[in-house]
This record gives sequence, structure tokens and C-alpha cells, in this order.
Amino acid sequence: MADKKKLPLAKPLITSWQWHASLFSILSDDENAKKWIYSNYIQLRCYDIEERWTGDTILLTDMMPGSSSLKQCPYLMFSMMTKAQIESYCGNIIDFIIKTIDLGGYVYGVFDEAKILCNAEVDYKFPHELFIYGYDREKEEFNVGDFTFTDKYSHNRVSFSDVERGYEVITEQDDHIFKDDYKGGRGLYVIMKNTDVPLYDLDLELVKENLREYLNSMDSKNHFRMMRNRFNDTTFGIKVYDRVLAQIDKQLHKAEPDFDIRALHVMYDHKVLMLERIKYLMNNGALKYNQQTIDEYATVVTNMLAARNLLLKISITGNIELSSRFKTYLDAAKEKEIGILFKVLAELEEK
Amino acid sequence: MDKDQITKKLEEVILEEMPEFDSVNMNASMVNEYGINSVSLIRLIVAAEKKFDVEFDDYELDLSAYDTFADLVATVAGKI
Repeated sequence: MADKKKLPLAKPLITSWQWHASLFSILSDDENAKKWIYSNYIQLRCYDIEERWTGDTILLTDMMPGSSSLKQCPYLMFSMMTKAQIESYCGNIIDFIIKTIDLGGYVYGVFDEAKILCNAEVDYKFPHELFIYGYDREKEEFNVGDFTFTDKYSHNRVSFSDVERGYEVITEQDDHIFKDDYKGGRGLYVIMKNTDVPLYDLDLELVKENLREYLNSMDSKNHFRMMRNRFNDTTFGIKVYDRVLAQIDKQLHKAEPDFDIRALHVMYDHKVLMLERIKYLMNNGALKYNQQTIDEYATVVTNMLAARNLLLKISITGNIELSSRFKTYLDAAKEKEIGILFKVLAELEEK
Repeated sequence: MDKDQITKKLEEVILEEMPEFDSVNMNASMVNEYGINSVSLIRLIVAAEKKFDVEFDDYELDLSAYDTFADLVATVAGKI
């Protein structure tokens, strides 16, 4: 075992959910992986779910693929390790994580971050995904990526003992990752980068299909019916703008306004990635180079960012009169995005 | 109000909003040295708007527009 080791990390192109931040931290810089990334993450979807720890209904908004991307991306090798396996192979979680990192594996799983964040004992849990990519045996610290520590995605150091405490108290019922994978049980994921050999080509047929489904708000879930068929009442594509706006309007008019800006973070990241995709397709000859298209789509990104930041401001000031401007930004982004993406789709279909 | 006066008043705002700090270096990185994020920046901006009786444009609310607190001073100075 080495004294310390950090696995390579790229600056993630998008961070909106932990699964995206982790995948993009591993793959953002890889030219082979970009072919897969830019063929995907085009469709948007949202549906109501009950948040596990607060009981509140939230509008879960995400790009497709969502959390399953960690398992299904061809440029990652993925293993599920049950708690029993971890104990049998290594005896304890600290050695397991260190040995995994020594072998080039990132560790991803649910930990009680209340144990990590609070020095004192607390009587509640905050189960959240932690992404572990390095260790320092002398300082007895792991290097982790997460949103919880600074309210934005960041890299931090967490002591071995806090990670151990945060791991031990999570039960099967708390382990939402295993539950979401229909596996039950408790454990961790081991993720290895698998980019040496080109395994996936830029798929323009898939890009076109995804764009068609996004622009026409078509139901994309049936593509996955062979593996998954427990579906919520889901909104797809451009109509996500309307459902998110309706949700925020509902929040704004509560007696005590209560905001969840995560949907807007996801929508903003979706636009950031779409702009990068357009540039990538132009650089690779799939689209003709057109600076005007880039500049115009950049205004979609800017308007989404202004909408997200304005909602943050409204949540801080409580001044809901500002919300008319919020709708203006979303409407402008939606109208501009539809116009540009229909042109992009038309150009791709001519080929 | 000149730039020095704006800087002094903005320092007061920053220390009121971030009482965990005893002093503030206006030229240090807001993110790396003071842990400013999107939410804490907008808190600061809202407090600055009150203090200086100005309003930031919605496009001026993003963290990417500011490296240091001195950049915030410059934005406020442009509104007075």
C-alpha cells in the first residue's frame, strides 16, 4: 500500500447531481468518452417523488441517462460490492477503500453525512452519495467529492474515522442507491475508468432521435422497458420548462414560500452541455461551423443562469414580485432553444 | 462616494454577513480564501444592495463574474 494516492480527476463539465458530477469528474477530459457523452444527455425528464428524508414532494428533474449512467456508460467499469463482500474481502471499510483506490477504482456509495459534518453526536441521519478518489494514510484522510460540505460540488478531505462512522450506520433501508438499482441490500460501487480502447462512436442517429424526442416532448422511457417498468408520471423534453415553471409558481405562492432550485441547476447544466455538444459537432464536421448559432445558444445558457440566480435571490429576499422576471428568462430561453435545436436537427437530417 | 469609501462600507457588509472572519482581504480569491458559493454571493449582493441603495442586474448575480471582493466594489461603484 502506498502512503497516499489520488486518482485522476477532471473538472466536471456538469455537476447537477452527484452521479453526473462523479462520472464527469472521471471522464470529462477523455476524447473517447466525449463521443458517448455528446451522443447522450440530450433528453430531459421530470416527475414528482417524495424526498426520503423530509417527506416533501419534489420535482425530480434530470437528463437522460440519469443515475444509471455510472453503470451503463461504456467507458466505466462498474462493480456493486455488498457490505458482506466488503467485510469478507477486507475486514473493514477503510482498508477496502484504500485497496480499491490502489487498484485504480473510485468508490461511490451512500454514507451518513451527518456523521461526517457534525462533530457532536446527532439524532438524525443525512444519507447522501459520497465519491471517494484518494487517500492519505499519514493524515488518515480520504479525498472526496460532494455537494454537502460547501453547498456546491467541491473536493474535500474527510477523516478515515468519519467515513467509517458514516458508512457503518447506513442500513439497507437508508441505502437509496442499491434500492434505486432494484437490488436491495447495502454496499458500495467500485468504478474504474475504461477509456484505453474506443468502444463507442459518436452516434449521430442517436443524437437526432434524442433531439426529436426532446423538441417534441416525446416519452423516452419506453426505450428502457426491457430493464425497467416502474414509471412515474413523467414529463419529457421541452415541456419540462412548463412543469418546472408551474412547480416554482406553486412554491412562490405558498404562505411560506419554499424553494427547490435543483431543477433549475439541472436545466442550466443541460444547456451548458448542449452548447458544448453543438461546438463539438461543429468541430467534428457533423455540423457546419456557425458562430451565430453558438452565440445565440449561449444566450439560452445565460438566461437559464439568470433565472436560477434570480430564484436564489427571491428565496433570500422573499420578494416574490421579482418572479415575473423569472418567467421572462425561462420563456426567452425556451423560445430561443427550440428555434436553434430545430435548425440543428434539420441540418443533421440533411446528411 | 469614492472607491475607498465604497470599499470600507463593503468590508463592513462582508464582515456582517460572514462573522466567522475578523478581517477581509479585498484582493484575495472569494472562492478559495473565503469559501464563497453561488448562494453566499447572492446573500452578499442583497446586503450590498441595501447598504448602497443600488440594484444588481440579474446577469450580475453569478459567481463567475467575480474573482475578488474588489470586483464587487467595482460593480457597486458603477451603480453609484
